[in-house]
Amino acid sequence: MAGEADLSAALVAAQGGDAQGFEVLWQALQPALLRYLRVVAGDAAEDVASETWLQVVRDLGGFRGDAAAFRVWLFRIARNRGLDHHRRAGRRREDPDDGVLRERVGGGAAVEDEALDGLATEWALRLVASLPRQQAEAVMLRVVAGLDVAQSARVLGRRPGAVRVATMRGLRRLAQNAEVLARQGARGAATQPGGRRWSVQPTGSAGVVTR
Amino acid sequence: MERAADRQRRGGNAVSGWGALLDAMRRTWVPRVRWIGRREADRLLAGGSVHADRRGLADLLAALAAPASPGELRGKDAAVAAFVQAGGRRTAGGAVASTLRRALAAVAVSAAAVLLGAGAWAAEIGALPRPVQQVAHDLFSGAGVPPPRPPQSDPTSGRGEPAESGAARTGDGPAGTSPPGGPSGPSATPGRGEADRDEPPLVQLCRIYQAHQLHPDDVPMGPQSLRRLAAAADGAANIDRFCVALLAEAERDRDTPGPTGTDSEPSPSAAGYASDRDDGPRDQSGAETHPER
Repeated sequence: MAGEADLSAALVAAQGGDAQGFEVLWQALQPALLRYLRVVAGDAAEDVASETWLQVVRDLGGFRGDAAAFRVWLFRIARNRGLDHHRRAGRRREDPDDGVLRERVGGGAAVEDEALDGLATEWALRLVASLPRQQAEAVMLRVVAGLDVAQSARVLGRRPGAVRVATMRGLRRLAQNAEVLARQGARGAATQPGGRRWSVQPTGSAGVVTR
Repeated sequence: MERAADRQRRGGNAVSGWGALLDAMRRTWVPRVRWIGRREADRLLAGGSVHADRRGLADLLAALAAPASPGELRGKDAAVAAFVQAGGRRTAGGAVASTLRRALAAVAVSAAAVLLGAGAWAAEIGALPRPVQQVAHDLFSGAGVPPPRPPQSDPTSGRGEPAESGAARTGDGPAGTSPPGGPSGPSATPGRGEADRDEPPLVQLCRIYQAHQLHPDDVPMGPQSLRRLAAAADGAANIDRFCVALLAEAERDRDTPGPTGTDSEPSPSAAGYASDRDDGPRDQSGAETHPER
């Protein structure tokens, strides 16, 4: 989503003290930042995002690099502040279903078109946040933050190969998610190859709606 | 008491073990989904077209990356306010006008006016693009730069008097808070009572350079000044970062410290916050930092 914007001019302007340049940067990156932080810090995403920008503003004068490097820097700060927040709050992200994410979408398995007002995005975020954390982070950085494998690796402090693997595992797990498949079925898309009949039992594991 | 079924589940003899396994699979059956290979994963991540049985996943990924909702843009004003408080500057005319204004103001203070070359000449004859001409007029009307439309009735705002341009004309000053149509004093008296921002020539050159980067057609830059910047920056490739650093220092030197004045450390890398080290070097370009940092 935020990958297309060419923020070079805005970055130069912001580093020169121009508020308009900073506004362009903020507007282009805040939504991606918020969504990524939902996975790292859950409900505290907005607070952590604010802390992130405060640090960016404080250290912007010393930043060296192009717009892509700025993006890496921004998400790296966000991740650290998000993890700090979690440590302070005493919460741990080991259990994907620890209820960190408040369920904002009312209905379960709402397979109708929910494009209005970001409902579809909420649904997608909830599912990604239920993945194991490394997979969730990798998917968010690759899909939402507009980072490639090498850049994501720098944010996460891991090797590019590990990021690639985590991303693939996340995608595969999402592909099997009951809600994802239900959505696909409701859209009238072709059935599974061979028309297999299947039933789904709630297993209590990640990927199924639990209340 | 253990039942036969339990024993089977624990993997008793081979045949009943398989039966138990199939039972367990059936109970926790997850729909079998076609394996996602590397190429398909790349296609999905790139948002390309997918097979019908991936539509659900493709929809999810598209929803993840959907355009911003209004709620996600809440807090913009507060963020910009924080930026301003840390030393940034709001501009009435936007990034274009402010950058140009600073560049043009810097030019007016010294004989660097000649460095603009065709730009200054174009300003004098009113040949710049309209918004640029307006800005140039606001700053230098006393030096004879005409407005974009037919000249005002005031007789002294006409052309000529190029000798004024190099004199004590101080321009709008880098504060840039006056509205574009502001006190564009038609009088020929040097200065307008604004604070004299007599900046070092290198700082002015950097301003011009940055304006040139953004608007090469409006703010041309001569080879002589480029050479001078390259010499100061130890190479043409370093001019970008050299100017960013130099101008940041100039801003800090000029602006009065705000409430969070202690944050204005001369060397950000010396910050004493332990968690900052986690964020990695601020120099993400991978090259050596400039010696003076």
